[in-house]
Amino acid sequence: MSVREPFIRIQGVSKHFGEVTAVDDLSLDVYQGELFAILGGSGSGKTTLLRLLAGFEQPSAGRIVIDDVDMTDLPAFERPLNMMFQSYAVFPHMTVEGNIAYGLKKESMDKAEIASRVDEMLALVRLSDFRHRKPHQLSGGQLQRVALARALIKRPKALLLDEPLAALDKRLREHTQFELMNLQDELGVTCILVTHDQEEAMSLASRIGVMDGGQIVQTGTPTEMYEYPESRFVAEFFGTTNIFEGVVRDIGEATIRVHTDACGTLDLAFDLAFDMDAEPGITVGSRVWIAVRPEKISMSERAPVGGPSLRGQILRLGYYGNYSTYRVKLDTGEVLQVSEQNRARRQARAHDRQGHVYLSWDAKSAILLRR
Amino acid sequence: MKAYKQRARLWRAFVIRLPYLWLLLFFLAPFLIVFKISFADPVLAQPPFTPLFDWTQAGWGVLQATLDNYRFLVSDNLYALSYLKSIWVAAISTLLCVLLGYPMAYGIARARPDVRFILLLLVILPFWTSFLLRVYAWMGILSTKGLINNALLALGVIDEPLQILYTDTAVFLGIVYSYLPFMILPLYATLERLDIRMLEAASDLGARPMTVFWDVTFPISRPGIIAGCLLVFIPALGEYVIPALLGGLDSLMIGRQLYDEFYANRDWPLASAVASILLVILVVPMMLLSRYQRAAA
Repeated sequence: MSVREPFIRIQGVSKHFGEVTAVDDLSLDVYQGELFAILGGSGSGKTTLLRLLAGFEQPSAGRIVIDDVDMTDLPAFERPLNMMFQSYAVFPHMTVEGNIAYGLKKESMDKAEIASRVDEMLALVRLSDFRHRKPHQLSGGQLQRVALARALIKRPKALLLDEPLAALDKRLREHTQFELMNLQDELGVTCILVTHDQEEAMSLASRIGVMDGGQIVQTGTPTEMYEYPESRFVAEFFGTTNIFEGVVRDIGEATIRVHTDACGTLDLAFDLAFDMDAEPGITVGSRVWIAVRPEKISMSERAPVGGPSLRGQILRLGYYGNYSTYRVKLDTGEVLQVSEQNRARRQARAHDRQGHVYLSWDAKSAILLRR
Repeated sequence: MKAYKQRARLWRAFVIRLPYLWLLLFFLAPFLIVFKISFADPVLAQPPFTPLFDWTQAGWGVLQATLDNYRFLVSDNLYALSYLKSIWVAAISTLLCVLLGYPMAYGIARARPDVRFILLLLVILPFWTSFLLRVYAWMGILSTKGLINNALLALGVIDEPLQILYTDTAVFLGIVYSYLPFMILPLYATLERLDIRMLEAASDLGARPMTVFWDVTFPISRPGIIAGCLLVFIPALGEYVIPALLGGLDSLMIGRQLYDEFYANRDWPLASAVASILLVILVVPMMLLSRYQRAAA
């Protein structure tokens, strides 16, 4: 099998607004048919990057190449990309049909062709019965589908999505999320979505790039980002995590021993997460961080046999029905977050708040971080 | 609890009816008085018109209404011409206000917030001086020995002073100048609320900048245009001061006819008839407009 060629290439793109650098020498490849999520906090430059792709902003440096065509100097109205806006930006003075047909009308396509494409698109987003409605007569979910249909009708080379689920309530989000994924599967259109919500990114995207300070700090599949973060920033961005600082004491055949103030001396197993070839800088005496996800920690009332464990006391409990989270204060004073599935149905709490609990985790589950 | 609810309901009913009460007291009642007078005969008395009912004859009142005033208005084409001229002047002035005011409102709406404040202030600032004073100032600018003529003479563009004052040009200038803020403010209000994303969406879908304007900006700002046009057209139609001060003696505008009938000829009934017809001219298109807007929504 041949190596896949990137479909969208962002090459060394920078964008300055006066003194502020929104995007800083950023390079990124996105492949055809991918649903790529750019994840970042506010001010990370993610929205600027999307606007650069759409052509609403001109880069200060760098090139944007899509399907081997340099788009850098093309204005927005000539780019083969369409965008779905966070606020949807549906034209209030046009009907649903008018909104969806707009892009094709600007191509001066013949009327019969437009009509058939609009019918097809209305059916796809299940709005056929609403075609003559005005936007103010639609619900949030319907507006979103109008915006999506309007952006898809020109069969763009890539669909840009700005926080596509942010404006929807929780129930509708889950529904829409699967709908979006189905649609993307069906049409095979390359999607780039921008979001600040890690759940939105993880559930929708086939690949994620985390942005910070105008740069992409790590790219990978949702699993890679969650289980194998390369930095504390990424580890903390995706879900909750317990992080403690330590110093490498010994590097063995299959384990590495780290001393931490918080949890004493810990052994970490070699795993994909920690490959000595990938992290050549680590030697005895290196400063490192250890990250452990709350759900990777097991908690018991009695000290587990045949393995190290940490003793502590439950400070606080959060009950969410399907799972509970616990804040456990270790004897060292460090507070760890632990989560547990509520597998059995019972009235009383699974763990006693008065007595001691013992925490342990698989040596493979701890993540070693250099940054 | 029940008493409280009752009070709340009464209070709400009062607040909702307050504008209607206002309209009733200060618009409908005065108009009905004017309308009543328009059916009377002028007499040399105090007040200078005959009462609607004559109580002197028998024990009961005798209705003494006449359509003479309306008949007279129809028979003398001076009035028809004045109405038409006023409509023409008001319409052209409104159009000029849209053409001038739209780009200004657009510019203000798109300016940086701090600059925007200053620009809005500049639009409103003339209101701080008396309207009459500003019209007099235009007389000083436009007269044969005024600023414009002096400047043009000094520059050698013309040899003889131009007659601008006391012409229709001066009337248009005065009306457009005076009413431009009433066009800019509602336009600014709609344009300022216009979501930039909407324009970007149109551009993203393949519309060039001019197309974006005609497809999105213009239709969305239509309520502002309509509001501005009404705010300019209505007062311009009945305008008296500007045509009286800046227009020629022969300028046939209905506001002047009304003034002349009322003060010079002291024919209150005829003046009332002129005013009643003016109101009908205004009310009919406004009703059509509101019907059209309801149909569009």
